[in-house]
Amino acid sequence: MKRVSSLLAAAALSLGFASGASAELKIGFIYVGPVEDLGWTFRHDEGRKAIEQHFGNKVSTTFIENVPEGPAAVDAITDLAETGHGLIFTTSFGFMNPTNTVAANYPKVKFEHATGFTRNTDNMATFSARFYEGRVIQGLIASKMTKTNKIGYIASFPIPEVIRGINAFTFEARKHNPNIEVDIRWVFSWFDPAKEAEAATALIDAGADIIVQHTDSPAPVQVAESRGVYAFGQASDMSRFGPNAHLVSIVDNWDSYYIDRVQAALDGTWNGGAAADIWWGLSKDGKGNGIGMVEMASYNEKALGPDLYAEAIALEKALFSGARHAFPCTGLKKQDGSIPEECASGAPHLVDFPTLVTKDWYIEGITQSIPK
Amino acid sequence: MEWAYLVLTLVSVLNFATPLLLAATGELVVEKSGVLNLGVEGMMIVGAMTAYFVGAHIDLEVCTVPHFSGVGCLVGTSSIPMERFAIVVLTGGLAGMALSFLFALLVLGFRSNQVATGLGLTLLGLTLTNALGSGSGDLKVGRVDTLLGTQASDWGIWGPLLNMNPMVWLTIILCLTVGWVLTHTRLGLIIRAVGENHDSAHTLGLPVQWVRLGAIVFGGLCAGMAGAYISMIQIGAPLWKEGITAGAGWLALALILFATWRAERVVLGALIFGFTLALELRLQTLAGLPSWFVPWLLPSLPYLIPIIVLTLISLDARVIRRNAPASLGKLFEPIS
Repeated sequence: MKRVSSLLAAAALSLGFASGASAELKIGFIYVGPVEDLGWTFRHDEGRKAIEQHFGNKVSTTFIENVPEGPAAVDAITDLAETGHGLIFTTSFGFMNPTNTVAANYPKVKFEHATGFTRNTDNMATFSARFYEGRVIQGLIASKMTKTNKIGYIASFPIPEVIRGINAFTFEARKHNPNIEVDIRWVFSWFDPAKEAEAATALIDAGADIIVQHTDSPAPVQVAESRGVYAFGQASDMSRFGPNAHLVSIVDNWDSYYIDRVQAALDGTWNGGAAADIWWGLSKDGKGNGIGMVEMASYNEKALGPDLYAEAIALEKALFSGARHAFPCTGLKKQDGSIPEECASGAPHLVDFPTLVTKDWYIEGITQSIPK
Repeated sequence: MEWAYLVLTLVSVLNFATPLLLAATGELVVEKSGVLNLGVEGMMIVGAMTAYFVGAHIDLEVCTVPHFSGVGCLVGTSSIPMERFAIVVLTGGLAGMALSFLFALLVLGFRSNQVATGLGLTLLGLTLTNALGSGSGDLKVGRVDTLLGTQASDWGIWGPLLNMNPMVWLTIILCLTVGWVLTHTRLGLIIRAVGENHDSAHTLGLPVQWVRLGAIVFGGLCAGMAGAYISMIQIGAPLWKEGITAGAGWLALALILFATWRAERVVLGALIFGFTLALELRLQTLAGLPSWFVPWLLPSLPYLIPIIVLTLISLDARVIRRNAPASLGKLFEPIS
């Protein structure tokens, strides 16, 4: 393992800092945040460690952390491609176009981009977790725990992944409690503790008694703890940042996916291109087979009480087995009151493509509009 | 709009304003003595990191599960009492001070260019904390006790305001006191004399270099303590990450220009800056805002407003000339 900070990446790599030339496959990771963010990047790095543990000397891994999203990422990704990495994972939505750009220049290197939807070349795959399955469970819990009927939702960027989460949460919450109002504030960052804390503060000041976050720092949970309201953790288990406030965390688990894909690359069965978009939810195939990319961690049984806890676990099992879909067509309407196309034509639930992949509309019941 | 909400908004404003004001107070003295230290951001972040790590250690005896190698808390339900917090803040200040000593050594001792050295100091602080501050993710630092604790609710809607960390009020008092010292005391006169014309001051027998050393070190102390506020108090619980100061040091520097080197205006400016920072997340849900307003204009307000005000101030060159220390940033070559 080598740790390369983005500023020094170019220099370090060109100096031959990358060791492990004897390994069969060199695997590179591009991270948007610091490994210690205790959330998103931290979990990807756990996946990287799982690869090292599983494959031992057969592979070597490198990561570059704190890589800014956008054109600047091209340099970092190119650095990895130039230094003999055969498989490169880029782990943030904003790396989508940079990854495709570099992939076109290095046809022999395999690229995997998390949470995006563009695969221009055959050496390009995308993968994503069905986090929104976890949002359904949070929606249920929030609907029964709120006293003010006002839920504060801290959102990062208006991209499909975040909008899917808001919709899944709101749909389930309003199903159980139609009076619920979801107040969404955008911080336009994945990791900015001060701003996330201020968003949580502003939401609580405006009357929210449950905080949901789609950002990566534990600051919102900490604020909730000190203000005496409830909160959900995101990306990693955040229960220790708010022993009383924390209700449950949606935890990413990339370990088994990363191991699968590295194995495929070693076996020569790795696939990329137009069809290579892999989504795992609570279960690997959505039908209850295999561990997926999403886990629910540290339910606060004390706060939930036995009944709600049992209900949440039952819902988690139903989502795991596929008995329940996050977006069933029953009762589902767009914000303007219209019925989604596939529902109108008789589908039982929203479909992955194109609806969920490119989702840019809110469901009925959300009063705010998506920032453009 | 309810009164309670306005009070809570004021809490947010003060929370954002305090580190800016504290760092700006120190830099005000530095600039009044004729030295421009652009390393505020670097000194702040070193202070922020130091305070966090000291906070983790000072909490040690009440840990329920100690961190690996017995350092810090992995699980601690403990809190940091006020008198220990004072030590934490002070060590943050001392760390900032240490960095400012380096600046003083280069600028006063070796007569290096102040702008370049200051920028170097910021880079040094940022990279130093990147290198030393990583791997701290597992540390758990106890919350800092509040003055009123759970009794805050006795004060009704004013509770959250009164329960803010005393640093908020002490910072405002410090800034106004510094302003008074600069304008009404012999010490202030000496500092200003050195800043206005160091050659004349030297001829009068004033110890130009020593006065500037004192000012620079005071500036480092303030910047370091401001950093400590950010990592220990601002978020509501202690948190450290690389780059946590996120440009607050630069805002503090802008604040001084904004205030044209007047302490009472520095206080006012800090409140205005804090207001724009707090406004962003509070105005978002205001009905009828155009959709581009939220992602573009609101986040840039805290930076746009200083630019606009600075442009307006600069329109009248006399305002700057009348208030800026005449020797600011100039090299002092003592006549031997």
